[in-house]
Amino acid sequence: MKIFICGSMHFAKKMLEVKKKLEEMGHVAEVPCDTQEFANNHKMTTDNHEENYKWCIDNDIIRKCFNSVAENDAILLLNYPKNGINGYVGASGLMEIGLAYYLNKKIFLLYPPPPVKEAKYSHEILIIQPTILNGNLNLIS
Amino acid sequence: MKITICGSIAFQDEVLSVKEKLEKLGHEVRLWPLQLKDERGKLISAKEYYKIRKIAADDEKWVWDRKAEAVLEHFDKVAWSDAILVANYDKNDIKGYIGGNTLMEMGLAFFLKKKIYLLNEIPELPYKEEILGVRPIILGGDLSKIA
Repeated sequence: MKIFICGSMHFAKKMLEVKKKLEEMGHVAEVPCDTQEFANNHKMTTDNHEENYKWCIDNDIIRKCFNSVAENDAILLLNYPKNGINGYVGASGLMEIGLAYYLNKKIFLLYPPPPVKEAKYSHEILIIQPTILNGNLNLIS
Repeated sequence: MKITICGSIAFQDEVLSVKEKLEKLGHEVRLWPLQLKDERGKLISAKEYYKIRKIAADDEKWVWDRKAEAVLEHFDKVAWSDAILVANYDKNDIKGYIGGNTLMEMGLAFFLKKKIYLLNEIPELPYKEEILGVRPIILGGDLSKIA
């Protein structure tokens, strides 16, 4: 299966690890175009909103990621805990889930989304009925 | 221009007024359905449905089924349009609030290369950068700026 791996660039290194694992399992995996930059350069961070915004605009990251959603069979959102929230899904991840749903792609979440009480947008994710892997990549099919 | 209005049913009265104004300006406008079927198939108003949904338990299947249907139907309306107008009124003490569902619609509109208009200012939310990233045009309440 052709799978686009998405999620916060805070987890760029993990994205590359998961890509390797998926390829070993026989899948074709793609990561966001700037993953290597984030993984290699410790100065690049998602915490500086202003810099991050400039980076995304200058490199047309949002559109490139959306095109990757369209070009693959499935998306896998790596929603590791972040900012003290289990199953964190950022705004880009949420938009990618919505686009994948519209384009009838398979949607995998590595972990359950945050409880609705902590993040209202979890309702939007749950009604789309993604496959929750609970950390087990072998469940991808 | 063909315009789909996105936003929360909580602001239906305001949105209906915006729809009327846009139509007077010569636009063709779509929004969410004003009526939905309840669990027995009886038609209820969108406002009534919204009240039910606000307090619905996670296992009230028909409520969430309707919401899932509405999400896809509205995506199709975004695809039909030339532009979306995000009716971002103040909510939860946030000026120009934009919720998760509307954010997904903005993402789809961006992917489909539609124009994205925000009725009011960009909200101060943790995902402000992502909202800016889909290049919205801020109307500051002035519908005549839509062109």
